[in-house]
Formats: sequence, C-alpha cells, structure tokens
Amino acid sequence: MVHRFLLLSFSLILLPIATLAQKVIISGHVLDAQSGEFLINANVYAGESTLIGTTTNSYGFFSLKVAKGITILQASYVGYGKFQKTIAVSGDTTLEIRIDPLVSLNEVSIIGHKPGDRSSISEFRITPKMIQYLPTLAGERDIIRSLQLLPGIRAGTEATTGLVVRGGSPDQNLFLLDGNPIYNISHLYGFLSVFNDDAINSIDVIKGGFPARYGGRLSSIIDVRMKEGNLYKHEGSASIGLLTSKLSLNGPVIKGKGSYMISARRSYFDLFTSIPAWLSNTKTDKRNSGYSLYDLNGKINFILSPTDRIYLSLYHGNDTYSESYLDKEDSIASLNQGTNNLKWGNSLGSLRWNHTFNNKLFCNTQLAWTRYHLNSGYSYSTEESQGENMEKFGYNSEYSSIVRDITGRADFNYYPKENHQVNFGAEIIGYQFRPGVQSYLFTTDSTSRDTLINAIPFNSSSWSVYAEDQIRLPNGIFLNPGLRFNLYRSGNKNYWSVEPRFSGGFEWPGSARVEVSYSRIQQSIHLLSNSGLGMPTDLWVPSTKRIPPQQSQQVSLGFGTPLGSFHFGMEGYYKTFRNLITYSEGASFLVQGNNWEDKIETGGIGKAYGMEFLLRKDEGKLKGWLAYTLSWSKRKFEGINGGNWYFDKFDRRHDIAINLSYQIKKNIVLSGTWVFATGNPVTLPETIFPFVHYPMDINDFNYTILMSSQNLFGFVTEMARRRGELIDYGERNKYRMPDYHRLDISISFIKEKKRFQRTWSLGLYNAYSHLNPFYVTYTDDTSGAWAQKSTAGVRIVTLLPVMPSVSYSIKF
Amino acid sequence: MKLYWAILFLLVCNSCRSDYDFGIDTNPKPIVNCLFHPDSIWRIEITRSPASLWKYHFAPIEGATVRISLNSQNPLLLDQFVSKDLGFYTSSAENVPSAPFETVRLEVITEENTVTATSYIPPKPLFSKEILDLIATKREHRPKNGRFDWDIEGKIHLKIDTRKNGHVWYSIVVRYRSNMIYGSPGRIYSNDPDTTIFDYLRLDIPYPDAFKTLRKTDGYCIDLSAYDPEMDELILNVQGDVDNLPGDLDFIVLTVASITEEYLMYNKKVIAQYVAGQDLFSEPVSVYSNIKGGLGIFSGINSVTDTIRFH
Repeated sequence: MVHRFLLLSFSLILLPIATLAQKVIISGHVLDAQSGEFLINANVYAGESTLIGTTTNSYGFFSLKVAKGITILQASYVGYGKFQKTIAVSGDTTLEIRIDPLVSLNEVSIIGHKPGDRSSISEFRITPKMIQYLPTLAGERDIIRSLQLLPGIRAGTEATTGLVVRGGSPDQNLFLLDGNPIYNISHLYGFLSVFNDDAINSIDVIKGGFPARYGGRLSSIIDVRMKEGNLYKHEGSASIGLLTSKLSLNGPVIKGKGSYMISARRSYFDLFTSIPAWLSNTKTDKRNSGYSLYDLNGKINFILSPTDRIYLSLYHGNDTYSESYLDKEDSIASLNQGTNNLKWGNSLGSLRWNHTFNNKLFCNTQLAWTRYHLNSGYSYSTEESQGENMEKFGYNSEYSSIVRDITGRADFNYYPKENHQVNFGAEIIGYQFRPGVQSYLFTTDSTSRDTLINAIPFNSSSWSVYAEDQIRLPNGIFLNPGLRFNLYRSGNKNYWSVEPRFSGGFEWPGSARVEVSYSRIQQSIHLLSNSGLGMPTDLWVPSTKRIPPQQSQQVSLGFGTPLGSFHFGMEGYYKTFRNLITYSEGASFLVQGNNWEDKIETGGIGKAYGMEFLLRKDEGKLKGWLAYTLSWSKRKFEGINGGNWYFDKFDRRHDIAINLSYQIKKNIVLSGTWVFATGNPVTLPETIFPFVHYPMDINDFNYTILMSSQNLFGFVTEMARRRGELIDYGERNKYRMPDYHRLDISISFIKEKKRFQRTWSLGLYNAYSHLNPFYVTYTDDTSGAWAQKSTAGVRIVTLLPVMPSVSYSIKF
Repeated sequence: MKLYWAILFLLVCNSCRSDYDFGIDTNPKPIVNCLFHPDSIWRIEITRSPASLWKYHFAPIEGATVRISLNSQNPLLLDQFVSKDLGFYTSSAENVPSAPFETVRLEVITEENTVTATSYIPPKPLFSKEILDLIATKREHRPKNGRFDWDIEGKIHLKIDTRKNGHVWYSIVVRYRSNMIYGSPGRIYSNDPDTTIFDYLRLDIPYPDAFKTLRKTDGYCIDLSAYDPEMDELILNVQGDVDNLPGDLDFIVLTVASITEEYLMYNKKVIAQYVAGQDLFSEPVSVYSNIKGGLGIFSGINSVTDTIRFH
C-alpha cells in the first residue's frame, strides 16, 4: 500500500516534468497549393497562448520543436492567404503545408517583409505579383527599377537599373540568380534589367544586418529565385510591349514529381531597322545597323525521394549592337567595307541538390558557373585597283572583357532546439578575369601585323566558411549572431578577413519593434566605372597583389510600429569603407592601350550615413507607401581633389518616393508613382588659366610684348593659344545637378476570358514631362547672351521627357 | 494614330536640352606663374582668370606688390622687380643668389587678394651623354623658296647621376633653333640667323611604366625614384621634321633640368588634362597648384644645356 502510494505520488510529481520534457518535432515544407512550388521564408508557428515560430529556408523547409499533444499550426507568406490547422502530434511528424495564393490586388501586399512580419527596413521581399500594377517605362515592368522606390535604394542615373544602396556603388550589390552571382544586370544600356519577371518567383533584398551566410559584396544582397514550375498543370503567359515581347511556359515533367520552367524575352529594334535597310540597299551600297536583346531562362527540378530533390537552373542573355557598310565602285574596282559591333551578356548555370538528413538537419549543395562577357569590335577593309595590281588594306581591332567564375558551396540548416535555427556552410569560388583585352590586326597585300595587349588572365580564388544562429525567443527577443571567415588568394598573395555579423532586437507581439545590427564585410572584386550609368563598358577587375579587397563596416538602428491600417518604420545607419578604387583623374575606359591597374587610384576610404523612413498601407482598395531617405556619402583618395574629402557621385541629400495603387473596380487598377530627389553632385569647370612649361623661349615674352602695343586682345589671345589653357575645376563634385522629380501613372484593364486572362496596360512615364537631368554639356557659343553671362554655356540634357506606353499580356 | 505619333515626335524634339544656372563661382582668381632659374632673370606672370570659360582674356594685374624671401630672411624689395608690363614682373638682377635647396617664398599683394607660394632651387643636374646615330637629312622646301626642310632622327644615351645630390625629379627637352615666329594674321619668319628662338623636337623615352611619360612633343618630366636606382641610364629617341629654315641645321640643344616635385605634379596634371581632352567620360583633372589663394605654379628650376652638333 505504501509502495503504491509512493509510486503514485512520484508519478504525479514527475508527470508534469515528464510532460514538459516531451517535445516532438514537426518538420516539412510549405508549398503553393496550386503550383506545388516551395515558399521561401514563409512563417510557421505552433501553439496557442505562447507561439513558437520559425521560417522556411531557401527551399521551403522548416523544423519546429513543439510540446506533444494538441497544437494549432499556422503558416503565412507574403502574397498568400493564412494557413491554420489544429493537429495532434504524438511523435516527430513530417508534413506539407499548402497555402493558396491571393488573387486580387485588394489582397496583395505591396511590400513583403521577412521573417515574422518584422517591420525591418533593412530587408524586403518583392514578387512579380506585387509589381504587376506599378507604372512602367515604355510598357516594361522591371523588378530592379521597382526596388528603386524603396528607402535607401536608388538608381545611379535616370531610368537605369544600376542600384546605389546606402551610399555604396553599383558593384557593391550582390545579385544572385538561384544562388549564382550575375555580374552585369543591365540590358539596353541600363534601361532594363536581365530579370524577366515572368521567370521570377521572388526577390529578397537585404541592405543591413547581413546574415553570415552572405558575403562578397559591401552594400546589399539581392537574392533572386526563379520559378520552379507548376507540379500539377501546364500554364503560361505572353506579352507584347513597345520594347520587348515575352513568352513563358511551365508545368509538370512528371506530375507531382518534377517540373520545368522556360521563359524567353526579345526586343525587335533590329527588325525595325533591317526592313528599311533591306529596301534601300543595293549591290554596291549597303548599310545596316540594329540593336537587339534577349533573355532565356530555364529550370528543371525533380523530387527524387521524400528527402532528396535536384534542380538545374540556366540563364543566357545578350545585348548586341551592330552596324555594317559596303561601298563598291565597279568603274574603278574599288571596295570599302566595315563593321562595328558591341556585344555583352551573361551565361550562368547551377546544379543543386537538397537533402534532408532528418527532421533537424537540411542541406543544400550547389555547383554553379557564371560568365560575363563584353566584346567590342571594329573592322574595315579596302581594295583598290592600281593598274594590274589590286591594293588591299585591312584593319581589325577588338576589345573584350570577360569574367568567369565557378562556385561550389554547401549550406546546412540545423534545428538543435526550439527557437534556434543554426545555419553553417562553406563556399569556394574560382575566378578568372580578363579585363580589357585588346587586339589589333593590320593587313596589306604583303604584310600582316597583329598585337595583343593585356591578354594574360587574372586567376584568383575565394574560400569562405560561416556559422550563424537565428534565435527567436517567445518573449519577443530575436538575435542573429554569426561569423564568417574569408580567404581571398591572388597568385601567392593572401587576404584574410574575419567578418563578425550581428542583428538583434525586441518585438512587442503585434506591435512595435526595435532592431540593431552590425556587419563587417570584405569584397574581393571591383567595378571601374566612369559614368555610373551601368554601361557595359564598366570593367570588373579583381583584387591583386597591388590592390587589396575593399572592406566595409556598417551599424544600424531601426524602429517599426503599426499605426492603425498603416505601418511605420525608420532606420538609421552608418557605414565606413576602405581600400576603394576609382579611375584616376583624366582616365577613361575609352583610352585603350594601357593596363587598367595604371589608370586607377587605390587606397580610397569612404563613409555613408543617413536615416530612412517608410510609411505603408497594405490593406484596402487604396494601398501604397511613402519612402523618404536623408543621406550623405563621401569619398577620399590621395590623388583626387588634392587628397581632401569630397561628395561621392551618388550622394543625394533627400530622396522621396510615393507609390499608390487604387482598385477602381475588380478588373481596373489605377496606379501612380511620384519620385523626388535632390541633384547628384557634379564637377564643373570654373575658369581657365594659362600654363607654363620649361624652358619657355625668351622671345615668347618679347614677341608678346611687341604685339601688345599693336593690339591688346591680339596679344592675349595669341599668348593663350601658343601656351594653351588649363581648366580649373575647383573642388571635386562641388556643384549639384537640378532636383529630379517625375510622375508616372498607369491603368490596367484585366479581363477573364474563357481560356486565359488578358490585361491591357496604358501608361505615362514622366507624365508632366519634367526635364530631368541626364548629363551636362557645354555650348561654345561665344556670341549673344552666352558671351555676356558669367556662367558660360552649361546645359542640361534630358533623356526621357513624357513617354506614353501600351502593353498587352495574357496568362493561360 | 498619326496625330498621336506627331505629338509624341514634337514632344521628344522640343524637350531635350535646357539651360540651367549652376551658380558656378566665376569670380576672377589671381594667377601666378613663375619658373625661376638661378642663372637668369626672374619673370613672374600675375594675371586674373576670366569670368567666362570662353573669354580667353587673362587680365594683367598691375601695381601688385611682389616680395621674394630667401630662407625666411628679410624679403628682397620691390625694386628688384622693375619691369611690370602687362602682367609680367621682371627682375633686374642677372642672377638671384640662391644656393640649391634654399627656401624661396613669394608673396603677391593686390588690391583684392594676397597670394603666397614657397619653393626652392634644386641642385644642378649631373649627367653625361653619348650620341648614337643622330642624323639630320636636308631636303629642298616645296614650293621652292630658297629654304630647306630637315628630317632629324637618332638616339642620345643619357646618364643622370643621382647619387651625389639625391635629386630625382628632372625635365628633359631637345630643341632646334627656329626662325619661325607665330603671329597674327599669319606666320612670321625671322631672317636673323642669330635668332635665339627654339622649338621642340619630338622626344620619346621607350621605358616601361616606371616612367611617367608626359607630353612627348615637349619633352619629358621624370621621377627617377619610380624605378630601379641602379638603372639611371636613359635612351632618348629624337625625331623631328623641321620646315622652311633659311640656313643649315648645324646643331640641336639638349636641356636637362632639375625640377621640384611640385612642378612634376603640375606637369602630370597638365598632360592628364590635355590627354583627357573632350572625352565625355573621362574623369575631370584638377591641375596641381602651389599658389595659396590663387592658381598657377611657382617653382625653382636648375638646368644645364648642351649643344649637340651634326657632323
């Protein structure tokens, strides 16, 4: 009796303890209910009064440790409805959560935040669905241009896709396409990006508080994921616009087991120009020129087993400008012909394998390659009859720049205990650069001479390991400490980098949030750019023995809170840079023949700081946001501006973007965007002055004195002409371009047909045709009003006044 | 539809360029240029910059007070600069006594500003030379006018000794005696055979990157510290086409000058700006100036000129 009493007593005491200790793991994937595609960074919660939560990884996998018994499982994802289900778990459970996508604009949030609906300004998620109703440029939706409406992110120049993030330069943004870096994201000299939104599933943007799993770029990570394809049914879309046309198809390869996605986009300027050329060309007089761009995206994936899945992603895109001519005169047996072309593009591919070891450990292994090339060529040849002989002469020059890299990486997600997700992994990248290879070939009847400059490639490698822990405590505290080690090798020169990362804060449930972060990052490659336009002539170069990797440190402090149907967020940041490079004074990518290392200034430092504000409304018929950024960005190089600090060319004091979308009816959406920014800095000539050189002839002075008695103006003009004038520019970037502002509006008419959905979009870019500055030019008109003005003939050139557009698209 | 395209076309054509006042600071700045040599009279140019980029009028500043101080001693007084014509202030003394490396301070006081600059006299260059295959070929001028054209080509082997004085910045030019005076409305030729007008021959020093190669038509400025100190021998490729000389071309002159680092930096930027030219995409070049409160260059020079005769 006593034994039974004691046994019962101990059982009653130990039962709660035993119950508390009995945790089970719920793991699995979160999927789109209609297509079967995995949802990345979807939120998954379990519990009633106390929520335990996590987010899915880059392949839709999650793992949660919950108490045994009845629990409420919830999941949510931006652009999708909410999932909620009460389940009973008696042991470790693997399941799939399927969520339906939202359909109408009324239900779609414009900006997504990750994870846990945190109101971070440092991180965003954009999907094509979110931007489908934003105003366009010439009818072309572009995800990258849409990012420029967010705080802290702006374009380098009017209508271009180069991004300037928190005072950094365009090369400091890491663009990943299915985990593969892409070096030049610009089509059409920067007016379009290479990302065809029909092929894109999501874009995650990180500009502060960088997790340790990312490295190699100082200012931002733009992680673009391609669609995987519907696992259950075939679908597609097509569109025709003023600039390009697109076609996308996706569907199951094996229903429920494998899917494909292919997407193509092409322009037709070359077709427009070739028709009149074809009509006017003759046998003896031919002219032809044209410009074309295209993108091809492809992806295929197979679910090999419940624990294994493989993916193959491919991309190829090109821009080509070419012109040719032929002049032939039969009477004198003369022939002149020539070609001129400029071509650039990217090719990349990656093979990935996902493996789930158990309900706590997930792994993604990836092998990837990428290639960026730029080729510029010019050739001409002549033949002319000289009596019985034919004289021939030929000239051919080519300039090319190539970047290749091969990447191998393994990333692990480990869920050791509740509220912890440990990520760790390693990455190896092999680089090959050929920056600025020049070849020249001269040929005549009897001789041939060729010259090759800068042909030797630069080979280097980068080795990284990292570990981080994403901690989400029930009391609202979240932390993400991490560490990344990087070794960059260039020849026998090693550059080590230890990169601590931290972000953390406190979130009141459903209410305000405070976050602080710190990052230290090393970047081993640089982009030399004269203009900041995102021109294909921008040169990617590696760190070498003479040129160390660039580095940055960034701290940020942010706050966010819901305000009724609005949400408000603000964040301040401070960044420092070192080991920056830039073109030396007087240098230009147009000047060929020199090694690029001799045209640059090294050892530059920089600083950028500012405040970002975002007020957004995600619900109701009227949605949108207001973004404001106040910022400074400065640079300092020994050989520039006399070694003094100067404003960076992308420094802009105030930057405002207002975006609104209104659903007039279920099938009519009106949207508008207004942007304002204070002018970019610019260096302008202030005056001229004569130069001297040694030895000057003594009679220079005698002559000028002699002349002066005859004609004063003749004297000074002639003296200046003989000796030359120098231009005084004053301080670098001392002046400001005029303020930039622009209104874009568009209206979309959607109709559901029997077998497809069609959309007509009408738009107006720069609706009130404000003459925004593109670049500065000078007039040398010395007569009339200009001769009298003290500010001599400086003029603003505008690229894009008002531009209407129309596009037609279908989804089936 | 046609009306739509017509309107669009007109909008595009009419909205491309616009005037904008950047508020550029065009207040005239004092310009002071002076390259002073211990073996010749000093001449300082003092002018003002124009108020417009397209007015090539450098207004001379008259009545400025000019002071020269050596080694921070009491300044040489104004009466050293007795000629003040049209912006050129010329000393009367044949030699301004200055030892090498002596600090020379300039102060120019005008009604609007005071500008200052500091420099020094570098040591005289020590060098030896050897002439290799230097030939001048004579041709009759076309159209015939009794004058001659000359083609000059050859090499000069130059060895500069930097070990004794440690000085590493030099300027090298090769010139011929010319009789052509540039003038308006047309060229003017001097018939005086003893004219001391000299013009430049093309000079090329085919060395790799260690040399900062500058304006090849006017000579070279060189920083010898930029490369192997054991290799201080230079091969100068000389080339020139001289037209319309009344007499024979008997000789050319080689001038090797020790210059200051400031003058080297000034020349570097001058040539960078010249090369950048009208390239829309080139980075703007700020010309170096050691004139505090103004623009220009104030620098000491010390040179040796050798005559090279053709046989």
